[in-house]
Amino acid sequence: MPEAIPPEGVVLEGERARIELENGCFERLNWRCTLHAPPAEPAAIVPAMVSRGYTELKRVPQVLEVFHPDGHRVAVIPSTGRIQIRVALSVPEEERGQAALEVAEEVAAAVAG
Amino acid sequence: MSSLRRYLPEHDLMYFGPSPAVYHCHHFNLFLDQTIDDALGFEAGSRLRFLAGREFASPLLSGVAEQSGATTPAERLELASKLFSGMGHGRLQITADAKGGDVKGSYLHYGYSWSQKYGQIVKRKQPADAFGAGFAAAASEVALGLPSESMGAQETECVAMKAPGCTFALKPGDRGLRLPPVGEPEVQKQIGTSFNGLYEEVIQPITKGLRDFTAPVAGDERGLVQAFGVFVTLHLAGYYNRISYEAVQQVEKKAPQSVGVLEDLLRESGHVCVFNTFGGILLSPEWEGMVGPLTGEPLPIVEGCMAIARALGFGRWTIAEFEPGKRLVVRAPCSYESVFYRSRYGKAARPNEYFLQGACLAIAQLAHRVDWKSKPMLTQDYYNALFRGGPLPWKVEQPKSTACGHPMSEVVVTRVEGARA
Repeated sequence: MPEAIPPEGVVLEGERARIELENGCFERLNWRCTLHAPPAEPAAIVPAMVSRGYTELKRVPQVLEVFHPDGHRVAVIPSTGRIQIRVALSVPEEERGQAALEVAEEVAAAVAG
Repeated sequence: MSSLRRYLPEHDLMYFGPSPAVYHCHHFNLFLDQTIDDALGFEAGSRLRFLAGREFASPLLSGVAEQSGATTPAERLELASKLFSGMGHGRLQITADAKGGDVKGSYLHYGYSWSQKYGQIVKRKQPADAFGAGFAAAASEVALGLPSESMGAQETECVAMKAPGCTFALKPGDRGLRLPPVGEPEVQKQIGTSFNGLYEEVIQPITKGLRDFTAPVAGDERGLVQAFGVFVTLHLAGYYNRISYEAVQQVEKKAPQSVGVLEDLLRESGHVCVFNTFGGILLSPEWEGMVGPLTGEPLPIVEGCMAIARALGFGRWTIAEFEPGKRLVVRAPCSYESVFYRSRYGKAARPNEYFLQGACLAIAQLAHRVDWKSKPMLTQDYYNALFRGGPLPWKVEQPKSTACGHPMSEVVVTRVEGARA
C-alpha cells in the first residue's frame, strides 16, 4: 500500500526536470513538470516527443497532448508553458512518481535535442 | 456515445439518448447516496436508490436499443454494458433470462471510488452499487422484453466491502410502483422562456469550449472517466432527483423534525460538487489552455463556475448581480431539479432546488476564500477547513423557484454580517 500523500504535497527532483503532484490526484497519476531549460516555444515539445515514439492526440488547439505506447501522456499548454505528465493507469501507485520523473526527463532530453 | 449527448438550446439542460442527464463526480455521488442512507437507513435508502436506478435506466436502455437497432437479448445486454461503461460507471457483465440471472461488475463507479476514497479509513458493511443493481435489472427487463419495474437485483459482493469484485443476483418478481415518466416530453412542458445574465460574453464561449472538449470523453479500459482529478459520471438526472425528493417526502412523514437536517445535507452536496469538480476543472491544464491562468480575482471564478454548470447540464445559471465580498445573485430559467419536481409532483410549496442553493453558496466561498494562484490541492482536509471549519461566512436563500411556478429560479448568497469574506 503506498504511503499517504503528505499535506505539503510531493515533489521529485531529476537532473533536468522537477515534478510536483497535481491537485486531486489521489492515485498519483498527474504531475506538474517544470523543465530546468524549457523551450522558447512550449509547442515544440510535441514534435520532439513524437520523434521519440509518442503520438499526438488532437482534441483542442489550446491543449496539446502526446501519448506513449505504454499509456503515459504529456499535456502541454502552449499559451503558458504548463506541462502535465499523466502516468499510465497500469503503473502501480507506488511507482507512479518515479515513472512520471522518467517521462519528465525524457521531455527535457527531447527538447534539448 | 457522443452522438447520444444533446443539449437543450438556450436552457443548458442535457439529454443522453431520451433521458435527462448531467455530469457529476464521485465525491458528489458518494455524498448524496450516503445522505439518502443516513436519512432513511441503509435498507430503505438502498432500496430507493435501486428503484431510482432501475426506473431511469429503463427508458434510456429501451430508447437507445430501439435507435440502434439492437433487437436480440444478447445485443441489448451488450449495448447496456457499453452504455454503462461509456457513461463512466464501470463494467457490467450481465447473464440473464426470464428466471433471473447474475451480474459481474468490475471497477463499478460507486464501489470502486468508495474504496479509493474511504477504503483505508472506514470498514464498510453494506454494498455500494444500488445504482448498478438498478441498471442491471432494467437492462435485463429491456433485453428480455419483460415488463418494466419487474426484475429485482441484489448486490451480493462489493469491492467497497473488500471483495475482489462486485456480483449481483437477478430475480424476477420485484414489482415497483409505476410512476409518471420524466423524460424529454415532460421536461419540454416545464421549461419557459430562457434569458441571459451578466458577463455572457465571457461565460458562453467557455461553456462551448468545455462542451467541445468533453464531447468525445467516454469510459477508459476500466469503464471509468478519470478527469480533472475526479471520477466523472454521465448520470441520469432522474436518479438524483428521485432519491433526493422521495427521501425528503419520507422524512417529512416519519420524522418531520429532521427535514431541515436532510435539506442541509442536500445543500451540502452542492458544496461537495463545486469544491471537487468545479475546483478540479478550474485548476486543470485544460482550463488554463482554454480560458487562461487563474488570476485570483473573484469575478472570473464566478463566471467560470456559471460556464461549468452549463457545460455539465445543470441549467442556464446566470449572474444577475455580483458584488465581490458581499452578494451573489444567480438566476436560471429552470434547473435539472426544478423541471423534475414540477413534472413529477406538481407545484412545490416552497423553493426546493437544494443542489442549486448549495452550489451557489460554494461558488461564493471558492471565489473569495481559495488562493487559486497557490494552486491548492483540493483535499478532504481543505474541504473541511473551507466548509466545516465553523460557521460559513455566507448565507443562502432561494426566494424564487420554477418548481413553485415562478418564472425563474433565483438564489441569493449574501455575506453574513461580521463574517470574514
